[in-house]
Amino acid sequence: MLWTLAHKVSVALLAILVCMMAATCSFAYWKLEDFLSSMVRSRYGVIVEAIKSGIEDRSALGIPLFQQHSIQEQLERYKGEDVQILDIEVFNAEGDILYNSDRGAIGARVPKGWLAMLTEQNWTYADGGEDEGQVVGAPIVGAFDQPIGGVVLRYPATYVEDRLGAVIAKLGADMAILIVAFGGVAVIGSIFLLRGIRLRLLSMEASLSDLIDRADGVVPSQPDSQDHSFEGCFHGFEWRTREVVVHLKSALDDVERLDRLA
Amino acid sequence: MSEIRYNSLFLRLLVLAALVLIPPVLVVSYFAVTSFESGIEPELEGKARTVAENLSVQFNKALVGGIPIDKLVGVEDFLAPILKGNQEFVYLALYDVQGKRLFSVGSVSDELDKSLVDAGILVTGGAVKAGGALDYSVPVHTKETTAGTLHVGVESDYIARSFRSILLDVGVLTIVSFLIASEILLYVVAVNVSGPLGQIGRLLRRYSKGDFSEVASVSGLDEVGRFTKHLNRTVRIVDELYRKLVAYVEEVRLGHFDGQAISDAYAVEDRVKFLYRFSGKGSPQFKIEHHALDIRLALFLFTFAEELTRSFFPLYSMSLPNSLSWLSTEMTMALPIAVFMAMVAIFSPWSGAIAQRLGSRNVFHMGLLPSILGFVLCGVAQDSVHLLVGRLACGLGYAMTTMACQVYITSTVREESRTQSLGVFVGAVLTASVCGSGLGGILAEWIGFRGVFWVSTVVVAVSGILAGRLPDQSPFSQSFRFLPISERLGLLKNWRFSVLVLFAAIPSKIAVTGVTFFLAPLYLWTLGYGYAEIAQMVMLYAILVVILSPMVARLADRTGWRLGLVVTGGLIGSIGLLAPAFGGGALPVVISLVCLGIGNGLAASPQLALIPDLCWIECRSLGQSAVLAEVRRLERIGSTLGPILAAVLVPFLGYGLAIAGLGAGLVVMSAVFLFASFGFGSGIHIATEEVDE
Repeated sequence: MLWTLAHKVSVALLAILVCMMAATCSFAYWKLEDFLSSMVRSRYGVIVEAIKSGIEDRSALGIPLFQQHSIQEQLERYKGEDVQILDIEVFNAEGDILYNSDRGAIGARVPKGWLAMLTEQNWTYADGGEDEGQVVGAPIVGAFDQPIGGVVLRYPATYVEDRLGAVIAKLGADMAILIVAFGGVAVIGSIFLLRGIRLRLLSMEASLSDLIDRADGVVPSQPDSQDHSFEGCFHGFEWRTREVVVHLKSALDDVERLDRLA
Repeated sequence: MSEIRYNSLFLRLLVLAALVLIPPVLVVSYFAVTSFESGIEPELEGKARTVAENLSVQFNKALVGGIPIDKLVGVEDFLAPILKGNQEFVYLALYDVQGKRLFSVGSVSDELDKSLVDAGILVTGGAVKAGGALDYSVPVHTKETTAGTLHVGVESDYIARSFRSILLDVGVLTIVSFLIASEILLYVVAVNVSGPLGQIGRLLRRYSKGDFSEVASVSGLDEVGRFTKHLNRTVRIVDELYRKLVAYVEEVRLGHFDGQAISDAYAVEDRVKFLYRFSGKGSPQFKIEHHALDIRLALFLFTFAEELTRSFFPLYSMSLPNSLSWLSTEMTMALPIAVFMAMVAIFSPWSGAIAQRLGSRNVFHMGLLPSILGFVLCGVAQDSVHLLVGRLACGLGYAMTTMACQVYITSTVREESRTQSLGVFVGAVLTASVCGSGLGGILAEWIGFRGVFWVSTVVVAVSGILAGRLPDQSPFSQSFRFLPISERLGLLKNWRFSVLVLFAAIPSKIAVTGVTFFLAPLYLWTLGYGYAEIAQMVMLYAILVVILSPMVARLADRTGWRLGLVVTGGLIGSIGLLAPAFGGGALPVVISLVCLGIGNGLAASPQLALIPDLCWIECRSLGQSAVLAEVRRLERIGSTLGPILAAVLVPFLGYGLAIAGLGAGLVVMSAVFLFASFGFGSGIHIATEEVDE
C-alpha cells in the first residue's frame, strides 16, 4: 500500500511546513535586510549631510562650488576612513563632476537620473544597479534656495547581502534541519493518529474478502441493530449480506427445482 | 469497537499540525533575529561614531576660532534636529574635560554624568555603557588642547525594540499560516477521511436494512479507497446473484407453459424483492454526495483573497490620483468600499437564484471572472475611477461566489444538520477575515499595495481550481429561496423585524465598514503607524468576533437571552466608538476596535437567532432561511452606508472625532433599540398579535 491516508496527511503537513518556513524566513530576511539597509543608508546619509552642509555654508559666504577646493580633501578623508565607500562625488547643476574621492572621475558627467534628484528636498536613495552601486545622495542648495549641485555617496550594491550572507547560509541550514526533524514528526504522528482507522479498515477489508463464501446456508444471529457506529453498521451489513446471499441461493434453488419439475 | 469520531480525529491532527508547524517557525525566527542582531550592532555603532565625528568637526571650528567651550551659543538648537532625525539616539551632549555637562538634548541624567566620569573617557573619547545607553564619544579640540568630548547616546534596547516589532509581524504571519494550514488540513481530512467514510457509513446502514441499490463513489489507492473497492465488489456480487435470479425466472417464464410453475417462480422473485431492494437500472448506481466541507476551502481562499486588501484599501485609494474631483478626497476613498458592498447587496439574490438554476460550481466559476478582472484592475489602477470599477467588478464576483457557496452548503442540509452547515460558511468567512486582514498589511509592506492585489488574483484562481473538484450539479430546487419584493415589504410590516434591522443590524454594519474598513486604517496611518501595525490593530476586531460568536451562539441557545445580547452588544460596540473623543493616539482607536469586536461578537449570532422569535409567522410561511437571507441583505445597506457616512464626517471632525461622531449616532440607535425591545415580548403570543393585526 503505497499511498495511504497517513501519507496523504504527511504530505499535506510537509508541504505546509515547507511553505510556512520559506514564507517566514523570506519575510524575516526581508524585514531584517530592510532594517539593516535603512541603517546603512542612514549612516552614509550622515556623511552626505555633513558634506552638503559644509558646501552650503561656504556657498552662503559667496564661494562658488567650483572654488571650494577643500571638498576634495574632505571626500578623500571620508573614503579613506571607510573601505566600503566606493566613491563620493560632488557635481554641479549641469551634472559635471567637480570633486570625486577618485580623482580620475573628475570632469565626467553623472547619470541623468541623478540630476532629477536635485529637485527633491529630502534624502534620496536610488538603486544605481550593479555597476553603480547603492547611492545615497542629497541636493546642494545655493544662496537663493536653488539647487546648485549634488552630493552622492556610493557603496556596493551587495553591501547588505554580503553582511548577511553568512547568516543566510546558516539560516538555510537551520531551516533544512528543522524541516527534516519536524517532517519526521509529521510522518510518525500521522501514521500513529491514523493507525486506528487503518487497522479497522484493513480488518473489515479482510472480513469482506470471504464474506460471500461464508454465506453457506446458515445465517448467524442478527447483531445489535441499535449500534449505529461504523463497525456496528458494518456488522449489520455483513449479517444482511450473508442473509441475502443465503436467500438468493435458496431462491435460485427453488426456481431451478420449479424449472426441473415443470 | 468505537465509532469513528471525525471531529476528534481532526482535533488530534490539528494538535499534530500545531506541534509540527509552530515550533520550527518560532525556532527559525529566533535564530534569524539573534543572528541578524550581531550583524546590525556594528552598523549602529558605526553610525553613532560617524555622527559624533561629524559634529565634532563643527565644534572644532568654533573652538579653534577662539570661542571657549562653555560660551558656545545655540548648541541645543543645533543638536535638537539631529537627535530628532535619528530615533535610535537618546541624547547628544557636550562635556568639558572635568565631566561637567555643558550642553545636551535628549534624556540625560546625573547618573549618566557620573558613569561617564567613572569610565574615564572625558578626554580621549570612546565607547561605554552609561546610564542605560551605549555612549559613543569623540574629543573636541581648541588649537592647543582637548576642550571636551561630544557624546552620542544610543538606546541600548534599540535593536531589541526594533526586533520585537519584527517578531510581532513574524508571530502574526505564523498564526495566519497556522490558520490557513488548519483549513487545508480540514479539507484533506474531509475529502479523504470523514467525507468518504461518512458516505460509506450511511450506505452500510442502508445495506444492513437490505437496500443494495447503490454503491459508494469513493476512489483512491488509500485504505478508504481499497475498502470501498472491496465493499462495492461484495455489493455487486450480491446484485449479480439477484440479476441471475431475475434472469432465471424470466427464462422459466419464456421456456415453460406450466402457469403454476411460472407463478411459483414469480412468487420466489417477489419474496426476494419484498425483503430486499436492488437497483432498477440493471446494476447498483454510484451514490454521489456533496458535503458542506467540500466547498469550505474554496470559500475560505476566495474570502481570504478579498480580505487581504481590507486593512489598507483606503490608504491605497488615497495614494491614487483623484479623477472624481467633484467629490471630496474622503468620499473618493470611501466610494470603492461602498460600491463593493452595494454590489454584494444588489446581486446576492440574483446570484442565489442562478446558483440554484445553473449549479454552484458553475456560478462559482462565473463569479471568478469579475473577481479576477476586479483585482487586476485594482492592481494596475492609475486613478480612483479604475479602482472604483475594479471594486465594482469584485463586488459582483463576491456576490456570485459567496452565494454559490451558500446555496451549495444549504443544499447539503438534508444530509447534515443546518447548524453544522451554516457553521461551515460562517467559520470559513470569519477565519478568512482574521487571516486576510492580518496578512494583508504585512504583505502591503513587503510587496506593496499593487502586489497584494496580484496575490489576491492568484489565490482567487486557486479557489476556482478547488471549486472545480466539487461534485456535479445537485438538486437545489427547494433548498434556497430569495423573497419577491411584495413578500419583502410584507416582512417589513412586522415592526419588530423592522426595528431589529434598522436599529441593530444596520448600525452594526455601519460601524464595521465605516470604522474598521475605512476610518481606523486612515486615522492610524495619519498617526504614523505602518501598514502591518494597522492591520494588526484592525485584526483585533476580527479575532474577537471569531472567538466570541460561537461561544455567544451556544450561550444564547442555552439561556434564550438573545434580545439582551443584541442590546448589550449594540451598546458596547457603539459606546466604545466614543473613545477617540476623549483622547488622541492609537489607544482610543484600539479601544473602539476591541469594543466593536466584543459588541458584534455578542450581537451577531443572537441577532439571527432572534428572527424566528420575532417573525414566527413569516418564518413559517416564507421559510426561515429566506427570512434570514433577507436580514443579511438588508444589513448590507448599513455596510454600504458606513464608509459614506464616515467620509461625510471626516472633513468636519477629522478622523478621530469622525469615529466618535459615528459612535454617537450609533449609541442613539442602540438606545432606541433598547427601548423598543421592551415592547418585543417573547414567545408564541407574538404570532397571535400578528394575526390580530
